[in-house]
Amino acid sequence: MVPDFALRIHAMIRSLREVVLPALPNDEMLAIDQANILVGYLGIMAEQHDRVFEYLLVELSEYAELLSAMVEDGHGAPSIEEAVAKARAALGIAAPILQISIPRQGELGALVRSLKESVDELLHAAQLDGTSAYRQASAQRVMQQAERQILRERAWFRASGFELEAGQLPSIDDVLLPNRGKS
Amino acid sequence: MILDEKQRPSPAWIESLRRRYPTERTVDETLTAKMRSRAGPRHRPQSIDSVIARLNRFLGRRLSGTFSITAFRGLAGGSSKEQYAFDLDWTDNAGAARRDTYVLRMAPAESIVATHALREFQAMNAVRAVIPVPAVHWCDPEGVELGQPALIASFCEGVTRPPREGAYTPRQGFGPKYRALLAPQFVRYLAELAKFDWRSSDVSAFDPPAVDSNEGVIKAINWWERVWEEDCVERYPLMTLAAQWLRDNAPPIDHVSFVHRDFRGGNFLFRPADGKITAILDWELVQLGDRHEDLAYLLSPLFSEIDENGIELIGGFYPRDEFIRLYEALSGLPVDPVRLAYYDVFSLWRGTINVLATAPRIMMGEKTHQDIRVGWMISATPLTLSALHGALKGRI
Repeated sequence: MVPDFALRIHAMIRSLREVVLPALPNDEMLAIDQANILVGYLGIMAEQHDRVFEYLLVELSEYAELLSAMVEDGHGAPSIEEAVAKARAALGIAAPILQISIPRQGELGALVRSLKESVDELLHAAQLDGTSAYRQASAQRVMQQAERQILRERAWFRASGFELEAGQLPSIDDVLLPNRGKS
Repeated sequence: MILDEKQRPSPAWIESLRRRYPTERTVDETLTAKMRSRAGPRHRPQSIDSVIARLNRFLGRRLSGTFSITAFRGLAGGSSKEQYAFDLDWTDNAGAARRDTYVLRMAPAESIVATHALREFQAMNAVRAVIPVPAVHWCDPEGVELGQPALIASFCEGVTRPPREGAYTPRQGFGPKYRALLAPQFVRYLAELAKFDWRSSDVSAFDPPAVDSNEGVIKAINWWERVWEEDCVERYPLMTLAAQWLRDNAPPIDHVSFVHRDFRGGNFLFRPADGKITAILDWELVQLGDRHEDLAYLLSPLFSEIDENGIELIGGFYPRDEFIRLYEALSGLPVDPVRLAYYDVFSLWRGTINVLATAPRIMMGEKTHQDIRVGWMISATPLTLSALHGALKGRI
């Protein structure tokens, strides 16, 4: 994904530090204070942004463990029985997710880039040595995939204001999770 | 943040790209210099005091008599060059005391388009006879004296968009009043550029392409494919497919013209009072090539505007057929639909390289004063890719 979040956050910090803050008059204390806090916020987000999913997975695992232990011993009063029933239902939803092996975001990004590179290499090889039929078929496949890719990217950036009819575009959820109900 | 080996290019890799993508001499010089300095420090704009001190020394070597620089100030606008304006009090050759305002354009370490200042300088000097262009006075193409490659031109009065009376749109809409005033001038200047006979001008910074050959087109593809290879952060197969199609279908050039490559609303100045165009700006991408490239670029829906009657206006000015008819009549040159379609693909591919490859690359290296702006422009990439896909559909 270009540009990645780290790059954008880094550019924002640089702009605030090197352009905006030096340009603020010394007596604009509130503006200077808030701009510095923005730099701080962005610095935190630069560390966190690609770990949110993993953070939630760690929490999911820990709370599932905690809840399982509490459910084991939860007997007696109707209110406890009722809470245990709810807890078992929640654990049932969490269980399959806890069993999945999910790569880190950075690893996933590297894997996607490597597949794109392989497609590109095949296109180059086909151009040099491929039969006309193979070249044509490869080109058509790339065109078909590009159509979906571009629609996804337009939805991803639709808030930028570059799209004159952004409202006509699908939402990010529509293009990423087409088979799931809207959140 | 993705940091790859392209941030520290080896001399062997740079040479391999030069061999693989032969192009014009000054383009090669510019791209090679860019790559050789890429591993160097990030860009930090010179202090104003430093720029003024260098400028004083620079002008001292070129002006006889005393002079003084005043009102030195930064200018906003543009995504590639650092721009300043200043007043110069000096004495001309006739001994008359003068005060003139100039613009200093300086290239950062890397910008969204790496270009050669001498090409811009020579083209502006040449076409000034037929098009309103700021007078260019001095050039430091290597940045030996001014610290960064630079060009000094006369300051021109004017605005790039109408006073905001509700007429302005994200596509620089001019509104009916200014459209009527600007459109005839705009198409005339584009036509003048196409028919301008450059052969008696100093074009030593260009390698003029041969007529009735596609050699110049292949060199232009090499230029931009080399930039793609140098800068792209990740592969995008549609871009490769487009490059292959462009090579397979490169048409011979029937008439060699100066091609501006960014001739559109927003890149010229006009006087709000009477709508007179005072200057065509941003000549950094100029080359000698096929006029259809400028025309195709402008015909892109990315720059069109829907008028009050729901009609799409090319560049915000005329319906497509009317624009082409006027252009042909004013230039005396035919518009070939096949070449037009070819350069539609070329312009979209080339423009996408700037935003999809170069913009994130220079952000990674902190090579420009405009990180935040070029980063924002990347958000427009899906639109150019969508247009590119549409232009290729049915042709591949």
